[in-house]
Amino acid sequence: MKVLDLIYKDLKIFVRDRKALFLTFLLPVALITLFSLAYGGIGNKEPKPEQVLISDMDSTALSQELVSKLESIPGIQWQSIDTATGKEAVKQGKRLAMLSLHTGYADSLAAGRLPLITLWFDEGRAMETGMLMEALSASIVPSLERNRTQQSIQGFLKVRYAGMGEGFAEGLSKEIGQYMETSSSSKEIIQAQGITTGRQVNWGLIQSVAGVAVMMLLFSVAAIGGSILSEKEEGTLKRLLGSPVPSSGIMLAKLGYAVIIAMAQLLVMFLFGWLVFTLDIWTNPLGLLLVVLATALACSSFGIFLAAVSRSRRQVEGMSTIVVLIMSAIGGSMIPLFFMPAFMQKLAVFSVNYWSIQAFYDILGRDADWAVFIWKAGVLIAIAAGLTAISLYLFRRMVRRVS
Amino acid sequence: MLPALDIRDLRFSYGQGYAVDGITLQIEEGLFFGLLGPNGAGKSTTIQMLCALLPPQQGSISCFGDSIVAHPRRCKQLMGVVPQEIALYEELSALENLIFWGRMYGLTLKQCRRRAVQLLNLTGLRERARDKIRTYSGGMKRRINLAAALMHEPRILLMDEPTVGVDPQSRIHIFEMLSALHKQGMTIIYTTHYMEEVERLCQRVAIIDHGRIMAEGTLAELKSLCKDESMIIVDIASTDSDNAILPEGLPFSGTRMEGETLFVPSVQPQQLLPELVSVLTQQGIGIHRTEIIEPNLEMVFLRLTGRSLRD
Repeated sequence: MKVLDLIYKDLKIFVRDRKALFLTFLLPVALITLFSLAYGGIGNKEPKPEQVLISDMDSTALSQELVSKLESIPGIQWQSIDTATGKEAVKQGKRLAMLSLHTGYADSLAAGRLPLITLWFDEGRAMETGMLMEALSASIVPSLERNRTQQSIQGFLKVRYAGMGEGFAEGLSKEIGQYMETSSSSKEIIQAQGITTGRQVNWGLIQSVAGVAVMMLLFSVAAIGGSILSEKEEGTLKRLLGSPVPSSGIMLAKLGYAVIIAMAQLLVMFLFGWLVFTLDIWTNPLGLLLVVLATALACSSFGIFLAAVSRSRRQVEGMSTIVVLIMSAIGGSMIPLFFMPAFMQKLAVFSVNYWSIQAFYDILGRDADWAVFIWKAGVLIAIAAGLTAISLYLFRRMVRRVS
Repeated sequence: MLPALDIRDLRFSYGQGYAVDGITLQIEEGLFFGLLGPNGAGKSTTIQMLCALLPPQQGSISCFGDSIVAHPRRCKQLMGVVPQEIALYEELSALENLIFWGRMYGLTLKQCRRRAVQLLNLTGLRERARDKIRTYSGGMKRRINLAAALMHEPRILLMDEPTVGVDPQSRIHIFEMLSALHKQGMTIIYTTHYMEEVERLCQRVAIIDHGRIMAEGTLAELKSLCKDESMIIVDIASTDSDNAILPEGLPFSGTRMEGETLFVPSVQPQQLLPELVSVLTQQGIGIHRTEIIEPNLEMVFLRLTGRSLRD
């Protein structure tokens, strides 16, 4: 009976411990929900159409016919554009890819040669491009290949059996072509060409370093923010408030401390990536420093904000675990964004991770112009300013509670 | 001369009734002032308003003529606050803590170092200056807690129950430090619920209960409120303790006998004692021991509030 009493006692304590309840039930439920949403288990009935550019330089009936076929592929939205502008848009990461039908596409096809098609794609989104290629292979490559085979047979019959009627030769070539296995792979039909910065870019490495760095940083700064509450619990905050230092100064000092640690942490992670995994971090060191600073500011203000809305250090710990995990998941730290359904991708913009990772992509992978990433850094700084202003207000209220 | 602290009709409520209910006090510079009351009497709330942590909801506080509400930073600079809890950074050494708190009050690094060494000598902890606070005993922490408030050489020292949980040795050390500071002219405001501490240290005392000042004055003035409770106790020698009876013809009203002990109330026990001894001797009563019970602050508090300080 004593054992039962002991069990009962522990259950009673457990049920009264809100944090334990939260971590045991609510956190796993929240994470399962999140990952289910992310991997498309729920709410993925209508995937977001991928916007792909098309540049039809051939402008013939055959090329128009292919464009029409392309438009029937579900899940892809085609947008006509000239080649130069399209390539720039892909390079800057604004679009996933551009399909170019080169001048002479129809002639090449009529001559039974490989058609002149190139898929220009963003190397930073290689996995998405792979999925696009799969869709193109299934939809247009077979008919293109069949068309090319028939044209080859017809050409051969014309040369070898010159007396054969044209209609008969066409019919025969179609019939033979249908039974012939296509000899060319989709890679031969569509020349995939990554738009590079002229150097070897390891996108997976950038994703790993930037994604993990930002997520770990959020955990670190949440702990630093929580130290305000430790000071409250240990009485040093009250003593500080009794000194001539203004309360806003105390909070801003904590923010400054968090920013220094955050910058150091990010720089160490990138240096580690450079030294151990040869991640090229020297293409735009000033730009990288700006984004590191903006990320450090945004993450630190987030940590301070968490502390300002919490009443105890334990509360911060519990809350930061779930908020950071959710933000990291929707922001692309844990799962690349393209895996996620459309509405989750829209949600990503509400996370620090998203803006930070995208800006790191711009600098480390795309060699993007300052104009491309500076506004992303601006968004991070704006997030920092907003969260700091709210935290200052909440901190003043907390000061009254401390007293 | 402006008083160190001029408190007028101070009130503060946390929602249900007043925690501080109309306190008015004038504390002159150089005074060792005690605020005596049981837990929950309003001492800490008063101290928090005095050091500008809480804004008074009613009333005013001036520190050497400056309003604490209008000029909080200027007033805070004049004060050192010793909080009830040990408000130090456990992972920093005593020296680092003292330097930090000195910096918070605008001292230069050089001034901080000089002052920290002085205070470490004063606390008797110079040898352990570089040890982390977490390795200190509770009493040693309390001494550093006090030293941290003295770094900027404040004119007023506010102490909120500074000896809670302190071992006797550290308590004596703290008392010696406070006496030395008081001799140097520092104004000290000391809150406690330990009557003995107030009797030992303070020149003037305010007794506080339910947020109100019940009485204020020097120790003698306060004790005079219970002078009728002074008493002479005499242990008499009797061969038959079970049948001890009150000696006849004693010319003192209110005298009573309990066992072999005689209790004689008197407002002037020192003058009465020789007469009492003489009367008892004349009656052939042997005396084992005599004792004079003077009123103390516990009695005063009981008289004023109807309850004990320990309640």
